[in-house]
Amino acid sequence: MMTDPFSTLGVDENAGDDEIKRRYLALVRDFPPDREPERFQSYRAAFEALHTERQRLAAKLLATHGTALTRLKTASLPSPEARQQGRIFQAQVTALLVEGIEQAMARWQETSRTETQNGASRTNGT
Amino acid sequence: MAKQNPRQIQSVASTDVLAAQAAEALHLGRFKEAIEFYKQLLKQAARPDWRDALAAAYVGRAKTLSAKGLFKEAEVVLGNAVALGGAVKEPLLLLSCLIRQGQIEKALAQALRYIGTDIAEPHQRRPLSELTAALFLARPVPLKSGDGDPPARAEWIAAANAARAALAALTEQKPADEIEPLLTNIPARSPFGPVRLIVKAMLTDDPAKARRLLDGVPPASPFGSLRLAVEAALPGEPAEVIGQLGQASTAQRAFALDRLGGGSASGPPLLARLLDAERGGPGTLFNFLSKQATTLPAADIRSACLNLLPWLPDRVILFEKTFGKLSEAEKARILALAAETKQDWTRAETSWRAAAEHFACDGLRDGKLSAGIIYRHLASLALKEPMIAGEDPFTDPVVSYLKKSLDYDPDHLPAVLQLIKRYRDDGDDKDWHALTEEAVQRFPAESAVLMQAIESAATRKAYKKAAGFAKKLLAVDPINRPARQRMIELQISYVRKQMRAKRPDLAWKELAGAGEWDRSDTPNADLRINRGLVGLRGGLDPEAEARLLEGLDLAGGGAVGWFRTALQDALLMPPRQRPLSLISDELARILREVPSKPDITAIAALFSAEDVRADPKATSELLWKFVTWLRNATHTVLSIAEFHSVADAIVRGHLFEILHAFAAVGKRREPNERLWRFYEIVARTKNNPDWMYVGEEDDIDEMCRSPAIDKDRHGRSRIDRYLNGTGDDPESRRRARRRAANDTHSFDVLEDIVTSFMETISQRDVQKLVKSHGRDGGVAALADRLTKLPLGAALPRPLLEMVATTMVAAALGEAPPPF
Repeated sequence: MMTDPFSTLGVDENAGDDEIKRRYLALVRDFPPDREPERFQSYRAAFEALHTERQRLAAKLLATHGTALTRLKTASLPSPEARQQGRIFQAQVTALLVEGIEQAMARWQETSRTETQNGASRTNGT
Repeated sequence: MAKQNPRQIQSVASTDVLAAQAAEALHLGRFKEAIEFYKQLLKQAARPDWRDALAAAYVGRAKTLSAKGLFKEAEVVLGNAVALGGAVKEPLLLLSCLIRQGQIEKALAQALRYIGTDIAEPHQRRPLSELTAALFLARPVPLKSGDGDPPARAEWIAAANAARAALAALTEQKPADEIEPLLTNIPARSPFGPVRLIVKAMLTDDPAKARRLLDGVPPASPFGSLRLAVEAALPGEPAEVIGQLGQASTAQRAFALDRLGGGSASGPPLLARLLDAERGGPGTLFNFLSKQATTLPAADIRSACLNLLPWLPDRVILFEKTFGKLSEAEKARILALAAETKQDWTRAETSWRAAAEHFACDGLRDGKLSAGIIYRHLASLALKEPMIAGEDPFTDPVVSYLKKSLDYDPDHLPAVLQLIKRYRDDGDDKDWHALTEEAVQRFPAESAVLMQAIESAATRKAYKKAAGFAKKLLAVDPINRPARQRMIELQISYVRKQMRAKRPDLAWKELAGAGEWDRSDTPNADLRINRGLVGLRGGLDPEAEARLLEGLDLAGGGAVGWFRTALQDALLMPPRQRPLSLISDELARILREVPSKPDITAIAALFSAEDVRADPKATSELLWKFVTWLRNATHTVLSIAEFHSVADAIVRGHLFEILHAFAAVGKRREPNERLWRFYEIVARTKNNPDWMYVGEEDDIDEMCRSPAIDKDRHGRSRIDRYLNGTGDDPESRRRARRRAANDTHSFDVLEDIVTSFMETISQRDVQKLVKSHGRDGGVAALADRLTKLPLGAALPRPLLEMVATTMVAAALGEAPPPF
């Protein structure tokens, strides 16, 4: 529903300075800016938004946050043991290919329509 | 050209006329008409060019139909084109029509006809080949290459069979060491290359490697959906996994959840239901969550529902029944956020104020900080939204909310600095100085506060105090260039005082003191120029000329350097004192040459400096010399942005024929740049808006409505200054004095009401409102305030808006608007 700084950093809404800093440094270590620049930017922005007591309070007061919802979703994620048993069904692969084909065609058609419209407006302009 | 009804086409029309009409209809995209024309032509003669043109018209018509979503009809029309030419040159169009109708098998059969041929247009071959690859894997059919097949088709078929075998092995749960050899049979550059990458990504245990492999498959390709599904199933940060699952399509999510092991025979897993509920909107999610209290942690359910309430304020009661009472502060906060989502700013303001009061009442530190945060938020809202009126109708809401925020959270430095800036910009010198004094006590080591303290002390002409603050600032931040620059400026202004009082000895001493602010790595040109000037004028320094030339070089040398030196000399000496011959001789030499563009812009900038503008008596002769010099340079190619400061100088020099010459040349060069016209008007009216013709007023009105001018801050401010007569040229100043002396405008029927309101709300407050909200916003905000007054409450809103418009005009020194 929403991407808030708490969810981005993966910290509790009541986390303190130390926990937020520790978590941020751990994320930067795992996803350094030279390797994952976009991800680093989002972690940096989230850290900047939460790194003082007033900022955390403001983030909680002036906006809604999805931290609890993220925790609920995390709790609903399959356990790592279950992941080992993951299966792949031919029908699912087929459905995904058909979906990809349909989406690619819809995009192609949209591009083609825009080009046709541009061509028509150029013709009318001349 | 009017469309012709094909049914009414006269069969007697000559072939040539018909052919011309057909070609024109095709060219203009009137395909239906073109089809009828070409059909008639082909009845007369089976010319290949007409047949091709008819096929093109069919394709065009099919495109139009497919763009309207009429895929079946488009397919039929394309069938006509195929019947004419044997094959469609734009196969993707036909395939898209078939696929959008769900005819995957038919699309595959059609697509396979193009493999290994060059029927399709070159730019369509690669996407067509990839599409055929995906179609083949979605609906595999037995495929063998024949002896007569071209090599390209044979290669494609071999890759297709290899990809199909690899995917089959994967879905049959074969071990990785059996699948990997199959992948080597898929050439990486073939249209089946994405399959190779996707299967490899599914076989590896390293999520980072898998992501790198998947990056090779464009999300927009026909394999993109499969790629995203595989990516969503990769292990990673829970928030990231959930984020990807949240964005995934139903098919991608089903695949990913099965792969993650979250699938269940007894129905969709909890996570899938949760994500579905989230897609259903806040209401659906709230309902879903409130029923999960037994399966999921209750505290998180409560917190998640609480965060949904701003979208569902009518469920506050239901929430309280389910999860227990909310505090009054929390309820007010929810209502404020709900009002913000609806952009109901009046209600948001009331609710935020209520929330702040409740938070402040709890007496705890967090409560006070919360109140401070809310008042700061209200101040920032008041900057953007004119409907935020503030608690007191007579005070700028931004100021009043910032002040309240500091009552609860006095240690918040950004709010202190914002309020200081607000006071300073509004000309509230008393409050500015008082708050700065207070801030410097509270934040003695903050350079931004110390900088403000220097400015505040300098404005009060308390140079010693300013120097004290500057020393403190440089102790904290030794390099701080603005502070050093400001202190040098202050001491130079003191030097000027001493020189005008005929005390070069004291001026020299002052300059020696100013040296402590100078840094050898960033030497100050004005300081050296002034040392040279004082040394020469007072005969105090044998090396004065060398110092002067050193400063002149630092100032850029040449015409710019000499003009700067001359300006410094003019500011140093009493008016009408003859300049040093060294300077006057050099200037005379320079003025005989044609000015260059860099010289013009740089010297114009010198005349825009605050100290130069503040002393027109001392600098008017030099300004006149500069502007007269520009007479030889009216053909210099200056952009309008570069010209603004030059125009300011010309207007101040009152040489409007030169301004007109620049504007006329600029207008010829850039006819679309409206501001050249503006300067033409300024030149003709001699900067007096009262002398505008009706046509010129219309032109200025049109400019003001133009989005381009609206975005051009500098241009806009020049137009406003001209219209308001607030320039600092002599004529504008005279007009302002006349206005001040004759401030008894006729307010016709509104006069009594306006006078009564003006006794309550000062012109200064009205000016502040206009400054903070813009003119229209200021009128609206003023009308809001008037409604809160006893007399205002009894008057209809349209009348109050007329009164507000009149009050704004009066506050800005304009004539009352005609109603």
